[in-house]
Amino acid sequence: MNNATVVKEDQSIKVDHRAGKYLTFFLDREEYGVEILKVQEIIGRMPITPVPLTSKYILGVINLRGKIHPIMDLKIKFGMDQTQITDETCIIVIKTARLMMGVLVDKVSEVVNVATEDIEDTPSFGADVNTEYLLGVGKTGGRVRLLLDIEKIITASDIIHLKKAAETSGQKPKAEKNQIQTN
Amino acid sequence: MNLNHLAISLIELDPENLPELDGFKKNLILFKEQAKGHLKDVLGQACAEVEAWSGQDPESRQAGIVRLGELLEQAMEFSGGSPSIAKPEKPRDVPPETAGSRNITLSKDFDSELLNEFIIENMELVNMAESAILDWEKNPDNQELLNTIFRSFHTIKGTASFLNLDCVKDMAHHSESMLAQVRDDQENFTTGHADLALKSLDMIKSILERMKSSGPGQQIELTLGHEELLEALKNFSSGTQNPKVDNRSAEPVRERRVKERRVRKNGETSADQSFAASQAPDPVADSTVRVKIDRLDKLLDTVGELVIAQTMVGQDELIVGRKHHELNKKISQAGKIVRELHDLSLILRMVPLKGTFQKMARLVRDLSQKNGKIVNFITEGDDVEIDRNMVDMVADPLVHLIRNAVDHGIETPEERRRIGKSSDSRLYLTAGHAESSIILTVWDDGQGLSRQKIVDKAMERGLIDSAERMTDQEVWQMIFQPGFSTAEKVTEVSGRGVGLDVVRKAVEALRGRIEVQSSEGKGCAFIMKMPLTMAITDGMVVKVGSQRYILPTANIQKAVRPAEFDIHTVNQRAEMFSFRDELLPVFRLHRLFDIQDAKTQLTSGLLVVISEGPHRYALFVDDLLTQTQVVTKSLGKGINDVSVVAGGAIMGDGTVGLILDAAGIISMAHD
Repeated sequence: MNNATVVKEDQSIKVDHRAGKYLTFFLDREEYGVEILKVQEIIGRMPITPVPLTSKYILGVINLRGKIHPIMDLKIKFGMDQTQITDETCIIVIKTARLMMGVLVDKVSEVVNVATEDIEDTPSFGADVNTEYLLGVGKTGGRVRLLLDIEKIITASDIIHLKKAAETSGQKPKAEKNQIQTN
Repeated sequence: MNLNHLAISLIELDPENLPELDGFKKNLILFKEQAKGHLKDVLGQACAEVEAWSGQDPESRQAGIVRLGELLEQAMEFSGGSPSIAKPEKPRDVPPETAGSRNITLSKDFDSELLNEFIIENMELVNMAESAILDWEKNPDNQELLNTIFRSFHTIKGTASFLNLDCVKDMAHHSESMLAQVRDDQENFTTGHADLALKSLDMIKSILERMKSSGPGQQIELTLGHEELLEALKNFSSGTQNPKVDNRSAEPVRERRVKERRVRKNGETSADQSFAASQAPDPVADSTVRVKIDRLDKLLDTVGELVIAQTMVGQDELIVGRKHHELNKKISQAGKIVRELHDLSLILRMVPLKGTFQKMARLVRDLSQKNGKIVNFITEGDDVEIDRNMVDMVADPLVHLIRNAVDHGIETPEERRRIGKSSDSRLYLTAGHAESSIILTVWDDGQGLSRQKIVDKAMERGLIDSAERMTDQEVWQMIFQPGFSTAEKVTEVSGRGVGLDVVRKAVEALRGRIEVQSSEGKGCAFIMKMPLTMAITDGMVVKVGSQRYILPTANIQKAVRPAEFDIHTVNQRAEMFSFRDELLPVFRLHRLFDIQDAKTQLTSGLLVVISEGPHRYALFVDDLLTQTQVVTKSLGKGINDVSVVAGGAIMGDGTVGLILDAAGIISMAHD
């Protein structure tokens, strides 16, 4: 109920729904942002148990106060090199209505307020770069931050395709095809 | 009953519920008899459809129900939607039904929390009354049971009228008045009384259940037959007035009851007060607190974490390595307390089986009445506790077994007399502990299993060639084969086999086992053995390269370091291991999981012989590390369900260990 009314108000005064506070972090030298409301907490790196037969970007699972959560390497997911673990490597725990997942990032930066006028739509780069996971680009303080649609990323459908692949690996080729399509 | 009602009850039919199907069949046939012309033809087809049900499995019955729905729709068109066809009166003198179904609206004045409280509380009362009625039926002179029944109905009435729930209030009120006739000795107690009281409890229960899924201000529909039941309650009379004939009861008891009653007769209110006063405190009434399940789970998680944190402190090199004697003592003291806390937290989830047993008692009562059999249902160990999550899962196989026993296992009274047994049969349901398992037994003194019939059937189905060398136990095991039950002949003659593979599956889902013991002509016992809780898995930690996995102990038969000559290869790729004259396929975990740093030489590692259902195989791992008891947890959503991993567990060092699924490994290796 409450959520619905908030959304309605937002629309009536024409505030960009993307505006708000973002937690920003680095993957290599690129700075990304996730909506602060979806961040449960930031934890240092901890031992990750790999789970066989999962997608490459699922590094495994961790124990966070007695609950098990999967960890995703965002860089592999985005087709970049695998994250090298350093002292600055962090896990950002994302909480959505459906699930909780940790994402591994190179370095956490800051919390910034991105106003409506600072947000630009993502330009199109053609087939090479998939911008489906970007809400837009935030430009504050002379820096460019890529605002992620984190919910879309962690619930992306290729996870489901892989599940099928794991169950009946006879259909692996098909599943791989699906993955290419969704990426 | 008109076509509409028939169609509605068709929708509500449960294809597995045979008595219900039977009732429907009867209604349909009655209805057909009264129909005319073309309508009769269509209904005739419908009847043929229904006739076929008895020999079918639930799935094809479901399909039949769908076809039947179409036929009924046709029939409705023919009858021009006129609902005027007379309804066959029920045997009881129920007045013609007033309104088919009625809606009631939950008042908006009450918030959902209040409603929830009401539902939970009244559900308990309904259950209490139900079990009291069942007991009372056996000892009609027990005043305390009668009081319990009254108290329950009375409290239901009170809370319902507070919430303006007239439908519940009236039901409780009329039940109370009906039973009052028995209490006041205006009538003798008959099964008719118990029948009606139980029916009204069912009705209240179904209203409560509907309320559960709706909120304040919403409407709930009353079930068909609500009005009829009310009328029946109002008008019920067993025709056994004049209580003087009650010569079974011991006189002193009677006298005392009469005295008590005199006090009550001074009027409604004082009667109620004296009721409250006569509520002798239950000697073993435990006081309980209702706790939300998510809070409980959180508590369990936190305690689990505490255990791990405590272990990590205890194993810290600062403490282990050096001689801090005092500190060591304090830490081990804290450790003891933490472990005790952990044990306590685990039993928090346990609930007694009493509720489940009660449901079975009701089931036996209804079934035996329907089948005209006399069954003494005896339960033992209803105080045995079991994990809360398992309660519902245990009930399903029990219902199957008890239904089998009453339907098929136990003979009719005439038959029993003929073969020299006492005409009332016995059916036992017992629960007990054995080590860390719970053992549930369903035992009847009916006709038992017929070895010959089962063997014949198995040979007919090509399951076996000859049974000469088979032990009885092996023969009995065959009745759990899927599909064995669909054969009508065996079902009816040998009396068993209705959905027993379903029972076995349900028990196996609880990580349990089921056994049969039978002696032809004397009876049959089903013994189920299952762990106390599903939450805890006994497992062995195995090492593969740098990875550790947990294998459920239940699946492990043996772990051996293979000798060269035990290994045989097929096409130089597949490997086999000869274990006790049996060749088992070897699955290499490091290959399945693509682990690079593991041992690859079979003779330098270990082969764990795994049995999973009928399958056996040898799993190659580097080493077996330790035995462990872990709490199974989900790996979290957002990760694909990997079939080889049954779940995760927090290990002693705080990391996550993966629990492997023995069946999943097979299916993975086969792909």
